[in-house]
This record gives sequence, structure tokens and C-alpha cells, in this order.
Amino acid sequence: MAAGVPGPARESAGQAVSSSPGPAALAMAWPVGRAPSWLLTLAPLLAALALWLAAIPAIDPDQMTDLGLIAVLPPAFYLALGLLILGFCALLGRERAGDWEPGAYIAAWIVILHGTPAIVYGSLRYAWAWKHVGIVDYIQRTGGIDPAIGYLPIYHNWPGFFGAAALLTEAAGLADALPLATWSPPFFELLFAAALLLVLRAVTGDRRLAWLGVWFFTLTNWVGQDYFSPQAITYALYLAAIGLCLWAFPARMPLAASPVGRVVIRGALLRRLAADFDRRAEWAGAASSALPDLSTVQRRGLLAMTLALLASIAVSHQLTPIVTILALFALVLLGQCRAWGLPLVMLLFTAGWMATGASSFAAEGIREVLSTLGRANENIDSNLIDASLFTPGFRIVSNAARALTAGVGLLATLGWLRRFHDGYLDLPLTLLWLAPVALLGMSSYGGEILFRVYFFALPAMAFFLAALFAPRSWRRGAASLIVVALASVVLAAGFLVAYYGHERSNYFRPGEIAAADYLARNAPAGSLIVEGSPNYPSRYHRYEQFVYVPLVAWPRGNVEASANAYSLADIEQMMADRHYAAAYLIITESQKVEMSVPGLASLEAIQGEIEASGDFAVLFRNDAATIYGLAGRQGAEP
Amino acid sequence: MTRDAIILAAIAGAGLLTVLLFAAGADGAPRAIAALLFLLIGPGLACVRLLRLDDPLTELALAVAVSLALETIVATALLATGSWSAGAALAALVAITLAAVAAGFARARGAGSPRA
Repeated sequence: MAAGVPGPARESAGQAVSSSPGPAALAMAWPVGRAPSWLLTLAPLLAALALWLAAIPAIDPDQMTDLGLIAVLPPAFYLALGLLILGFCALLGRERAGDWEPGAYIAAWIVILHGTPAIVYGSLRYAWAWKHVGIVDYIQRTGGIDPAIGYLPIYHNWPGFFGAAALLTEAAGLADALPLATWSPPFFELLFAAALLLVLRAVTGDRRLAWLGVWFFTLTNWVGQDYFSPQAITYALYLAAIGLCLWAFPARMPLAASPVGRVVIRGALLRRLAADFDRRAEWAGAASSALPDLSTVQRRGLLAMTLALLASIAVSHQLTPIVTILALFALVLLGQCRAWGLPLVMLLFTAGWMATGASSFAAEGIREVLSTLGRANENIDSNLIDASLFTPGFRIVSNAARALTAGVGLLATLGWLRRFHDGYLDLPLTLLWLAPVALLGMSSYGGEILFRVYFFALPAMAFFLAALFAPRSWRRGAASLIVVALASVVLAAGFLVAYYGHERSNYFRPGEIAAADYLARNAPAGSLIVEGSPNYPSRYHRYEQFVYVPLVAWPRGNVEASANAYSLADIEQMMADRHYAAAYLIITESQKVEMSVPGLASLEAIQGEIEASGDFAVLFRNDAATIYGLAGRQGAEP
Repeated sequence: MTRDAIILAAIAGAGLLTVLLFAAGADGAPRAIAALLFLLIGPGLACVRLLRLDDPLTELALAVAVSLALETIVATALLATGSWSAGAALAALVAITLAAVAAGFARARGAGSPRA
């Protein structure tokens, strides 16, 4: 550390003094005998897991309200989360805390938050996850992809994720990808955390600060891009690639010597500013003492791995390669990564794939590609709709999501300012924060891009959140750790509402799945499937053999083109069309839940009309779904 | 047997077991567990161990990420060339893994010089 640093340096080593209240401190006061210290450290975690397991049987997803899952979580669940927060913060106060203990706490947090729906629902949550299972099913059945396919071609043009998932499914001897998809959210969240740790440890030598950044990331990543999807896997690979760039190929070039600086920095004022920034960046860089002393062989190996990560991103998703290119260019052009060829290689990978594997799709133009990126999570969609239409619970959920997003942005800004005030300029993370913001100018699809930007900016923002709340000296940081705990409680509360708030429409009852299975088994190829909305388990088996017509498309029209055929006559006319081998109409509970927002056409009313008309025969019915055929039409019968 | 050798042998064993169970058309949990354990970490770990990074958490994160990346690349190559076969993809990944494991053993035998 350079002499004369204005702010006190964060300590990464020092005496073993625990100044925080917590298991370690309590251990000294209580007659615990010779209990091993790791047991005491992990006691809150083990207690939290026990509480959680005890809470699970009490969670009944059928009782969810418009507040989603939080309406049915028992007190023991919240107590478990509280214990994890306390235990984690106490851990931060311990000088000797290693890597496995905070890792275990964060892993437990992720397993509890993201494993609960997988366990409690007993089925795959979220309609788009089912549709992604359908692409894997297509590969399993047909032994390939069809980039020119008429329906959902985007997945066939960027098939990387689906190919890997098909490989895992087949190798594991599974009939379909549903089990993998069900457990994807906790898996991907764990991978996000591990990859983010790689990034943060490359930019700070303070391990506790890095862990705290990962902790805040898991508490604020509410946008739900962790389901079985190309964006989830590519996000993890993006973080890993950026982590490798900063960890294995760091550069600390003076701004004036960087490619951008050489062009931009002219004149005395700019030079003075750049010199000041350089000094701060150097202090921040000097704090990242964790950077390894790698041999040439090691660097070559890590470069090869980075290339593999970048290539797999390019063939799997549309938006992530663009963010990756932006981030890599920013790091290289401002002299923070010395592997200067990486952004060019990534550009080549991306353009190369668009010109070959994705040519049939890319031909329609990059703008078109960008505008179809909106396979957004329910969370995102519904938070952008006019809130005045919402039910009270819906409004709370929507506002929590907005408040959390804005709050994280604000707190991260304060954290950045605090670091700056302390004499640091965290240039790499500042660039990673700003790079995704460039997306705002690249596409105008609704306001949804805001949440994508949030998602990609979150790794850096989470670090600055940690920097805001972390004590300047861990040894004298008891008060700060209490603030960290309080901040964690507030952020976690916002997360629970924003992430779990829409679960009523993401959860599918066994009856709905039985109805969907009925169609998947019985509908002949070439059938028409009229559906209340696409929000139910569908398109997961033989999806390309059917024509889907949602009666009520989500108002922003981000799902498939909808006929919006509200009128009974329209529905009957469609279903009578002899071009289709058979015609079905399916209405399910989760479709109704999705459409229950006041102001949208009510499926209940449409179903009432259908029932009253006498023109439809019920082919399948249970407590959660009904499938109709047109009375008298051949081919509609099972 | 050193710790390094045990890890390398375990990765190779898991890969071979996965192929055997796949070829035999075995059903049930053992095949699923072997295949998922191997595919989610094996190929990447075999490569990462070659580099001797001496940092378990970094190795673990990289092992999973690189495994997924290799699977994505192999699967995409087969899909894009119209020659998809899960067996071929699995064979390719096991081959990559075994090559990395063999290189690891060769290096361990060749010298005790971890940092070239």
C-alpha cells in the first residue's frame, strides 16, 4: 500500500480479535467446553437448515395469494433466514474466518431461497422453463435442430445451451429435461456466486469484502434470470470469463497510457484529473494483493479456458455476447486487462456464429434479434405494466421490485463515492458497471431493458454495496456489522417480495400438468391448441407439431403473436378449420391467475361463454384445468 | 498415491463409469448421479488441475464453468453439423477428460516442478 493513502486501508490480515457479537464471542462466554470452533461457526447455519426443513411441510402453495409465496411461508422460514444473516455477519467479524465458512452460508441462503419452490411445488415452476424443456425434447426426438423452424426459431439458431442440456439429459438416462430444469435456479445461483467471487477476489485483496459483495449479490438478484435458460448459463460463463480476465490477465496501465487515454486525455486539467484517478486506481489495485503469480504455462491454460467460455457464450445467447464484448472492450481500452485480443476474438466469435449457425435468423437483422430478446421473466414483464391496474398485493410486489432496483442503484452509488472518498478508484468494477448501460441505447423494447441492465450491472453494484456497509477496519467494526445485518434484512425483505411475489402464476398444480400431459400424449401432429394464455405447462413435448393460439396475449405482446380472438365465433371458426388434424381449447388455473389483473380480459368470462354456448365438448377436466373440443368435430375426440 | 493422483483417477473413473452406464442403457439413480457429477465438474476439473492453481475455490468455480462450456461447444458442433448424437458428445467429452487426466499424470511423473 502506498504511503499517504488518505483513507485507512482495509485489513486483510491482523490479530485474531473478534469484536462482533456472534457465535465466536458467545463461545468465550458460555461453558461450551472444547467444542471445535468450526462447529460454533456453523451452528447458526445448521440451526437455520434444521428450521427450514421443519418449515417446508407447512408450506402449501395452493394457498398462495396475490403476494405469492411469501403469503404462505411459516415463521420458521423467516427465522432460518434471520439466523443465516446473523451467522454470516458474525463470521465477517472473525479474523480467522476462511473461505469455506462464508461460502457455506451463502450456499445455504441460495439453497433455502431457490430450493424451496423446487421442493414445495413438486413440479417445474415458470412457464418459459417448460418451453425450454421443449427445445431439449426436440433435440432428443429428432436428433438435431432446425434453424429455419417456424416457431421459436431463435432457440434453434443459438442452440448451445439446449445441446448441452440434451447431452446431460441423455447421459443421465432421464426421459426429459424436467428434473434438470426444476433444480436449475439453485444450481445457477450457486454458480453465479462462485463466478462472482472470482471477479471480486481479482479486484480486492480483502476477502471479507469480496464475500460480502457476493452476499449482497444473492440478496438483490431478484430479476429471476436463473431458471432453465440460455441467459442463465451464459451469465455464469460471462462472470467466469470476466473473472479470469481480471484475475489472470490484469493490467494496471496509467489512464494516460491506455488506448482511450492516449486519444482523450489532452490538456492540463484532464491530465491532472487522470493523474489523480491513476493514484486512486493504483491504491485500489495495490489492495488486490490476492492476484496470483502465474507462470506462462498457467496463463496459456487460463487463456484457453477463457476462449472456451467466450465461444460457448457466443453460440448460446443473443444479448450476453453483446454485454461481454462491451465489457471486454471497456477493460482493454482503459488498460485494465492485458489480454488485449479478447474483445476482438469475442467479436469474431459472435459475428462468426451469426454469419453461420444463426445465419437464417440473423438475416432478419440484428435489430430484429435484439427486439426478440424479451423472453422476460414474469417478474420483469408485470413490473412494467401500469401499476394502477394491479390488485393491492400485485401493487406491493411491483413497488418492492422497483424500490429494490432503485435502492440498490442508489446504495451502490453511495458505496462508490465512499470508496472514492477513501482514496480508491475501482476502475475494473466501475467499467463493468457502466458497460451494460450502453445497452440502453441499443434497444428500446419497452422498459424491460432496464432490468437486463440491472442484472448485468449487479455484480459491480453488489461490490459497492459491500463497500458502503463494510467497516473501514474489520477489527473495530462491530457497529458496522450490525448495520450490515440490518441492511441485509431490508434487502432480503425486498427480495422476498420481488422474487416470490409472482409465484402464484409461476406455480402449476398437478391438475394442470395432468391436462398438459393429456394434450402432449393425445393430440395428433398438426393439431390446433387454443389456450387461455401461454402461462401454463406447454410446448415441452412435440412442440413443433402444434399450432398454438393464445386467446389473451400478455398486453405487451412479448409472447407469441396472438390472435386475441376474444369472441366465441372467432374461437369456433378457428377450431372448425379442417386444416388442423384436431382442435383443442385449454383453460387452466394459472392462466386465470395471470389474467386476473383488473383491466385485462377475464378468462373466467370467456370460459363462462364457452360453457354456456353448448358448442363445446369437455374432453378433460379436473380441479385445475379443462380441455374442450368443438362438439361434433372429428379429431377432437381423444 | 498423492491427493492429486486420487482426484485425477476419480475424474477418469467417473467418466468411464458414465460411458459404461450409458452404453449399457442402465436406468435409475446410479446412472443419473454418475453422469451429472461427471458432466457438471469432471471435464473442467481435469483441465483446471493441470494448471495447479493452488486455490480450491477458484478451481471449483472454473471446473464447473469450463465443463459447461466444453459441453456447450461439443454439443453445438454436433448440432450445427447435423451429426448430433448424445453418445458421440459424451465420448468426445470423456476423451477430452482422459487426455487431460493423462497429461496430469505424465506431468506428475515427469517432474516435481509444479510451476514451470
